[in-house]
Amino acid sequence: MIELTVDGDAVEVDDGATILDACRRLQIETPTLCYADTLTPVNVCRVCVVEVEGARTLVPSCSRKAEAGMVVHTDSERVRTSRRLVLELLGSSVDLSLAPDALRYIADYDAHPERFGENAATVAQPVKLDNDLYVRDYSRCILCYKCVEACGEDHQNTFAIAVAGRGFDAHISTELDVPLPDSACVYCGNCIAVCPTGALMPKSEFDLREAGTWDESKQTEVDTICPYCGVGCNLTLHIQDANIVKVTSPDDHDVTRGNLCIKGRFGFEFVQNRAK
Amino acid sequence: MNFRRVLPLGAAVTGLLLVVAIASHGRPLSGSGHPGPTASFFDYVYTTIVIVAIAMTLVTIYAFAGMRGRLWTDPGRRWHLISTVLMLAGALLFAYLLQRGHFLATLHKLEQQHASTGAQGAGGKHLPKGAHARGARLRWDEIVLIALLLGGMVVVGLMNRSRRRLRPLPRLRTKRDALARALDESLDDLRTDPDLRRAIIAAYARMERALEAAAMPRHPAEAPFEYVERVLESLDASAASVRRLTVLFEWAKFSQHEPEPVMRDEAIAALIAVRDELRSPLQAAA
Repeated sequence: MIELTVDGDAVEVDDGATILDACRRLQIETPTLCYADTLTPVNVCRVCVVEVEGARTLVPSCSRKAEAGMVVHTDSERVRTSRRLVLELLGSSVDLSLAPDALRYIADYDAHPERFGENAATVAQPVKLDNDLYVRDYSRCILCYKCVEACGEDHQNTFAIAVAGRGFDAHISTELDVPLPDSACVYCGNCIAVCPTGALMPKSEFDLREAGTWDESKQTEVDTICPYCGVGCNLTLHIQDANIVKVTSPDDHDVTRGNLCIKGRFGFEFVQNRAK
Repeated sequence: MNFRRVLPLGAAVTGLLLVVAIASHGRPLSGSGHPGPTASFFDYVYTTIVIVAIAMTLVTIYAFAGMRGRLWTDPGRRWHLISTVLMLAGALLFAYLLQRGHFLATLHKLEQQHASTGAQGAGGKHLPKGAHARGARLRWDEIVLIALLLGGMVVVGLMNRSRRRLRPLPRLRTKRDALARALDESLDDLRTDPDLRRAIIAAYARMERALEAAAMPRHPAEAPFEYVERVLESLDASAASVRRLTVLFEWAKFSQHEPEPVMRDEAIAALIAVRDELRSPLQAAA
């Protein structure tokens, strides 16, 4: 066990645990956007930074391993300033309306994205509707890399998408920027599962939102087992008005860790075929 | 490149070339009448190894003194130190073998046997065996040369240090003047560069470079605002204008919003204000 101090409170964590784990043990809420329990930290969003005494720079708590005797400050002025600026830059250039966590952080840190004005030259582009299973709306993309990680080494190992370009030109792209149907994508939808802002969305959800009928308050969730093969993936069916509108899988499931295949995630429409 | 860095580097390279020239005595290693390097070449190699070993010993002692209590609590530091000590021991052992182990003598005997065999085969004269059979020796000329180089570097360093400690008031004036001159150039950039984003970033970068030249560099871990706050304390200048320029830099550098035309006027106004504030104490003092 490792003992460290976070905001004046001593805490013990297991060897290999991160500062974020220590914060969570002390129930100190630390904002995260690019971090997910099932993915390798990539340290790109920088909203989880904390101040470690003796360190020159702020460190990302999601990846920095806890060390014995470490003294961490999660709410210093330096930390709040850094987090506020990141949230302002994100909020001013990306549509975060479907990212409730990010909106809450913006309020908590008194961030004012509007100070940068409107008309950001972002990666925004028309919503990509090039297949029947999911849509891509990059005006909501914060370049958190989660979809890239899920498509790549962390989950699917398909490597259909990656970050192309640098600086202001950086964007998520298929290989050689080909349309999704021509790419290596296998439509597992595991990128959708990890997207924190709604930039990737099942087509069923997108259609309902476009029609103005998507209402999460009316939805119920039902856990079941995928019927397609013998792996036994857990499914969480999101049901609205007696129709399945979305399928997810719990992150903490030992087998799937939130992942599904194309059949499990998208192959539910036969259930709603009343003619059969 | 900074001239102060080039000078010692050039002196070190010249010194090394001198050592090599003396070691080879103006002839190629294999051009001395028999194959392979001369015996004096190995003397210089041996002397160099001894000097490096002494330097490593001093560095290790310095590292010991610097780390003190942290040494045994940090496995990474401990391993680095152990590996350094092992390398040092290996170098000393190698030097000892060269001097005492008759390694070179054996090598020379083998070479001479090979040379005499070749000479007999060709009808030549039989060479006396063991003529160069000796261990490596310290070359005092190399040691003196390196001592002179090190001494020279220490003297130059001490002179620079004492020069920095003298005349604090002119130094402050230089600092302010350097910044004011840099801001003049930045104003020209802002006025002429068609790319406003690039112009604002260039203006801020020039201000940073001027401050660095005036011995107020930005620390690698410092954010722009942290840096500016620290510098303003040192310069006694009004913070509002510099902060405004830093805000514009933040916008231009990190925001995906295009800077608006009015920002060009704001940046110029901020820079003029900073320049005037920096120049006014100089004029008052004159």
